[in-house]
Parts: sequence; structure tokens; C-alpha cells
Amino acid sequence: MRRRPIVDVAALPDHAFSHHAPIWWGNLLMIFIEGAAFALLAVSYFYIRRNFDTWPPPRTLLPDLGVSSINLLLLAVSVAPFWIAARLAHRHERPGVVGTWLMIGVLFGIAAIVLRGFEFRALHTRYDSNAYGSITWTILGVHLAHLLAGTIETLLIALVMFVGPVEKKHYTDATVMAVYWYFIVISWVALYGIVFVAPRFI
Amino acid sequence: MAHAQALPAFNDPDRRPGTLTIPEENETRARLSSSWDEGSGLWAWLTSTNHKSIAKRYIVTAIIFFILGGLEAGMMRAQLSRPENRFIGPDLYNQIFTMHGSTMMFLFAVPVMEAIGLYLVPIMIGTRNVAFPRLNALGYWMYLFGGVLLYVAFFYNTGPDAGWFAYVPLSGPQYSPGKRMDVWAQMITFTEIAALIGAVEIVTTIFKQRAPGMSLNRMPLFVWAQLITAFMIIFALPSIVVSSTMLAMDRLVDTHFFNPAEGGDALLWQHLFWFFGHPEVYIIFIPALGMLSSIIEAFTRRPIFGYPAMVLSLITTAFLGFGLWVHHMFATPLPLLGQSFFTAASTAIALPSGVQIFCWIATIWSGRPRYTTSFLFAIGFFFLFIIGGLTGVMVASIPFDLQAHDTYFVVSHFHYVLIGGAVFPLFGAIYLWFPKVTGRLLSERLGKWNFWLFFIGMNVTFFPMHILGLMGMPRRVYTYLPEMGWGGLNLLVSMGAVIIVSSVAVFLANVWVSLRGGVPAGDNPWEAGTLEWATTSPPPSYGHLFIPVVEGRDPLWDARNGELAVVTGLRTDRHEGLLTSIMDAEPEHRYEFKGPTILPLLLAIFGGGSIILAIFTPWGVTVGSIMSLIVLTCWFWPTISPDHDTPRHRRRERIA
Repeated sequence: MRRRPIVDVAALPDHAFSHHAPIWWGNLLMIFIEGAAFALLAVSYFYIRRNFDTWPPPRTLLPDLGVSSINLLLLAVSVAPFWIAARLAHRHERPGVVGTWLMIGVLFGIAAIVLRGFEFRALHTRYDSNAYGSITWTILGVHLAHLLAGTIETLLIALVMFVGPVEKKHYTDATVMAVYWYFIVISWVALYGIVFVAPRFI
Repeated sequence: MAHAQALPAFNDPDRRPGTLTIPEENETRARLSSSWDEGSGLWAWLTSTNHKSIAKRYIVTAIIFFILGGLEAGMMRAQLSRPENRFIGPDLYNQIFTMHGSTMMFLFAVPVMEAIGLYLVPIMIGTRNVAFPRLNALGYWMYLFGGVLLYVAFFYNTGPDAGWFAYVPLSGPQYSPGKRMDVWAQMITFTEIAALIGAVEIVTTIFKQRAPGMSLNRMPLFVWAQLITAFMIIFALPSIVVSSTMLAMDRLVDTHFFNPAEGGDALLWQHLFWFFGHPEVYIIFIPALGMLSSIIEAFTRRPIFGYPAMVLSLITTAFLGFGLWVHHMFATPLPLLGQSFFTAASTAIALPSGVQIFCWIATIWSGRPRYTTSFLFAIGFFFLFIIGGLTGVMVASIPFDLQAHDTYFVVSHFHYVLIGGAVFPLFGAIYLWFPKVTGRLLSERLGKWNFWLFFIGMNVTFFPMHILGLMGMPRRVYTYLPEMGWGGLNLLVSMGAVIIVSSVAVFLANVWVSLRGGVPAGDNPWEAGTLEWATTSPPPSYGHLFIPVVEGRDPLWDARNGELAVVTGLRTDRHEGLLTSIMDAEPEHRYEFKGPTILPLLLAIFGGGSIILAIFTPWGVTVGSIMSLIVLTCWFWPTISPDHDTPRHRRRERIA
């Protein structure tokens, strides 16, 4: 079969942002997968609730709102450095500037991880006490795994920005990283509501 | 040309109007061959990131597991061939039926369907590799390690023994002490990671890498089926991730998710498992529907009748597939209203299946069918799947289901659906695409033997099971008393199994003979219309010499004067592909695929090692995570290549 060239793509750019970039889709699908897992954990929480007369179970204190609310606020604020870093990356600013904002995001991540340790204590139960303890610890733990992964990934991208060699695709990576962080924060708003607030009403 | 007008910016007015000359093509071929050369030897094999190499070993591995699962079925049939047989004891029998189910579902059916997609989708949509080649390699290694873990454990008498759906409390710490069910739970972890990776690859590749002009409504139905299946995997698999993790934690660190004494719930397992497990059936079945469309189109030599109805039916099936899980749980105390809803949904799924079957019949009716082996397997599908579908409508009704539940009637039903609905299309697909993958035709004479032995064996094996079930024979019993009167039919069933085994043996012989000296296939032995037939057989590692430009649903049938419209201007000195827009596939930008590396294998070793160590100590996760982190750092770290594309630094080396 003979071939007739009708399109020349040599002049096309070699990277892109947002839904034009494959990595953006890979990240979004990852968010779908993990979002579905969080949703199923939430369903399991309410399913287990049906087996108890009182919630939390007898002789278990309500989870504290103090440290958990501080962490929620901290995570809400942490969106800002990621948003700024993504904006700067989109404009192809100097790598060092993007990296600095990402490092600020990493500091927020570390703070949230430390506070998460206190949040486990604020539950006033243990994973092996009963099914209530198992599901609440698991929800906090799975989200903690996301915090750890997100923070380490951000650190890596920031290091690439500082050390290089920086390719244009790394700017795309920085914007995609921000999207993943938004997911981590937004999913926590829902999970915080379920684990720390809902027991007061259900 | 119509499409050239749609892409004015990329259409060079100074271009010669003619076609590419042979020397021009040869030059490009030489450059692509050298930059996409994978090398040879063990190291090249371990580091490959080419979707074709990986998908081929994926398919071969899955077929090996198919044979192992079949041998387990054969052992069960030997044991059940007469009453009070002493060939296999109850403990080994429990392990064998669990291994058979787990192998066929997790290590054969889902992986083989995805693997065929990972091989064909990039060639069918005209791109050079999948979107994330290294991740793709990781997926294969995880799958392989999960399968090897299961079989090593089995040979050391630690094979899981609580059934492939591992109901608690039987699979929990109290009733299944030891490591058998831990092995099962971790095998699930491996295969779910592999399946999710495959799904992400397929969606991203289809969304971003279709040849220019292949808008969504011009995609082959096989590609549609793969896309829809990948989305089902993305939303169904998290349920087994969550439930198998809960089971592992209940067993290893004393959580109480499924322990009723501490407020846990055994039915939670059933809900979570079947919320995955029912869509899983469609994850196996929908790619098979795509294969059937390809087979029927190729062998009736006309486009599929009712393309929009076919696509909508696939999507409807996928959605309904998520609303059926409770029909596996009709024998549990659920509210009547809920049960009625799931009966209605289970019956409703007959509608999109019916639409597709009528579209295929219309295609065959108005086409010029060639009764090749591949086409016979498609016809076989119609018979078997309709029988399985009818018994499905029967068990969707609760009063009937309560009678048939846990009997051989159900065993018969789902083997008709899965073998008829998935394995027959799969064999048809192998006969269709084997020439493309290997460059050799399979023997039609042996193929006809393969088909007829399978078709007869299948019916002799599974049809009498309906009757055995109605006579009250429960599933998963290792033996039965002579007074039950089940002996004669069971012997017949076992003889049917021998016929199936001989059919698969004929198939393997056919493959062997063909690989040794089959008739060379040529590029397009069936004169089919889709893009995979435009390249050579077997395809070179870069897929297509030039990325094609598509102007219809069947580009090779649409090609005017035997000319294929193509793209030029991609770099040939590195692994470069073209990215296009999601809806209309208009060229957007160029994209570099990652080349060979050992990192996916290392990550699978450390990540997989942590999953296996976790069976013995929770510290396994910690150690494995740290090792994996080191590998991941290398994975993401920029490689210093001479032509890296910084904002300030650019080097272009393109073909004319």
C-alpha cells in the first residue's frame, strides 16, 4: 500500500498542560481509583454503624475536634502553595521559583503528617478494640498513606527543579502534582466530616 | 481531501502532491528500526518497555495459567467421576477448586483480555507504544509475581482453600488459621495492581494517542470495548482492594471488620466482594464482545450493522453491570425491596445484550460470511451464550435462585456464560490475530478440530450439570454417595472434560506447528479494514512506519486507490509519538515514550517483596516501601540525555 503524506507535524510543540498531557490523564484516573476506594471506606463506615446501638460504641469517647480541625485548616491552606506553584509552572517560570513554592507545600505536608499522629490519639480507640476502631483507624491510615506519598512526590519534583536538568515536561509534572494534592485535601474534607463530625449526629 | 482541510495548519502547501517513494520509506524504516531496536538477550528481555513484547508475554503467561486452571478442573472431574472416589481427599479438593476459580478469574480471564488490548489497541489506533511504557512493564511483573506466589504456595501445601470468593468467616482468622488465605489475599493485591495499571494505560492511550482523524465515532468496536472495560476496572477494582486489605488486616493485625463479636459484619465482605465481583464478569465479557465485532466484521467483509447501537449497548451493559452485585446474595437476609430492584436490574441486562446479538445477526445476514475457524468460534458463542443467558434470567428470579443456589445449576450457568461468552470469543480472536502477531497462519484443518471438540466437549461437560443441580447436587463437594443417583451424569460430565482437554491439546499443537513452519500470513490475510492490518505481520517494534491519517471507520476499506494517508514530521531518532485531541483526534503535540529500563522489574521485586513479607510481619511493608521509594526516585529522576528539551535548549533532527 502506497503512503500519501497529508499532515506534517514537525512544527507541533513537544509538551502540553492540562488534559492535553497524558500524565494529567494518568493522574486523574489514579484519583478516580483512590476516590472510589475512599468512597467504599466511607460506605463501610456507615455499614458497620448499623451493628452498634450507640456510636461511638459504649465506653468510647467522641473523637476530639481540636487537633483534627487544626489539621483540616492546615490542609485547606496548603492548597495555596500548590496552586501558586502550578500557576508559575504553567508560565514556565524559573525552576528555582517553582521549586521553592513546592518546598513550602512539602512543609505543609510534613506538618499535616505530624498532626495526623495526634489525630489517631484523638480517636480514643484502637484499631483492634472493635469494628469502630478498625474502620476509623483505617480511614485515617489510608489517608495518611496519601499524605506521605503526596509529600514525597512533591519533594522529588522540587528537587528536580533545584538540581535539574529540568525539561519542559517537569513543569507539566508540577501542575499535575498540584491536582493530586487538591484531591488529597478535598477527600480529607469529606473523611474528616465522617470520622470526626458525624459521630455527634448519627 | 476532506480531512486535510480540517487540518490546514499542518498541511504544507509546498509539499509534493505525490506518495512517498520507496527510498524515502526505506530511509525512515532504517532510522526507526535503529532507534526502536530492543536488542536481544536476557537483559533486553528484562528491560523491555515495548507494549508488544510485554503484551505477548502477558498473553503467553495467561494461557499457561489457563492450562494450569484446566488441569485443576481435570483433577476435580477425575475425583467426581464416580461416587465415593478416593483420588483426592477433601482438604486437597478444597485447595484445588479454590485454585481453579482464582486462577481462571484473576490469573487468566481478566489479564488475557487486558493483555490482548495492550497488544492491539496501540496498533489499531495507529500509535507507537502505550502512554506509560515503564508502568506497563511494572504491571506485567506484578501480575507474574502474584501468579507465581499462588502456585509456589500451592505446591508447598499452602494453597488457599476457602473458594475463589473467600467468604468470611470461613476465610477469617478463626476458621482459616495458617497462611493459606493470606496467600490468596496478597495474590489479589498483585493482580489488582496489574489490572489497574493496564486500565490506566488503555484509557490514556485511547484518549490521547489515536491517529489523526480517528474521532471517537470512528474507533473500532474492539477499542470501544477495551475503553469501557478499562473504566469498569477503574471503578470496580477498588472494592476488592478495600475488601482484601480488610481481610488481610483482620487476619494479620487483629482488626475486626468481619468479626461479628466486635461489631464487624460478614455480609460487608459479600457486598464489597460482589461490588467488584459482578462487574468483574463484565470486565471479562465486554472485551470479548469487542473481539466478536472484529471477527464478524473481518469474516463477513462489511462494517458492523448499527455501530451507534453497539457502542451504546456496551456502555449500558457496563453501567448495569454495577447494579447487579446483590443477585449473588439472594440467599442472605436482605430487604425484599432491595432484592426486587436487583432482580429487575439483572433481567434488564438482557436488553443491551439482545441489541448486540441482533446487530451481529443483521451483519452476518447482509454480509458474505466465510466460515473460518475464527468465525465458527463466534457462531459457537451465540449458541452457548444464549443458553447461559437464559439460565441467567432464570436465576435472576429469587424463588428459583433460592432453590438453585449453591448447586451445580449455578456452576453450569456461569461456565456457559464465561466459556461461551469469553473463552469462545477469545479463541476466535486468537485465530483472527495470531497471523498478525506471529506472521504465520494457524492451520484451518486443526482449527476446525479445535472448535468442534471444544463445542461438543463444552456441552457434554456443562449441560448435564444443569440436571445435576436440579437433582440437588451441591457445588464444592469432594464426593457423593452412590444412593444419590448422580454417578451416571457425573461420569458423562467427566468424559466431556476429557474432550475439552483434547481440544486444547489440538490448539496447542496447532500453535506449535504454525510457529515451526506455518504459511506466511502477509500483512492482511483476511482483507480486514482496521489499522492493525496496515502494518507488517509481525509488526515492527515501532508499530506503523508512518502514523496513518484516518477518514472513516474502516481505514483500509476506505483507502482510495490503495493509498494510505499518513503523517510525516515525527522525529525518528527517539521514541516519538503523536498526541491528538480526545474527541476529534486532531494533532496536538509530540510526545516521547520512555525507552528500555530495569526499573519496573526492580520496583516489582521490592514492592512485591513487601507484599509477600507482609504475610509474615507488618515490617515487611515498611522495608519494602523504603526500597521501593529508592527505585521510584530513580524512576522519576531526569535522565541526562544529549537532546533533552529544555526551554532554552532545543535540537531538532527530523525526517524530510
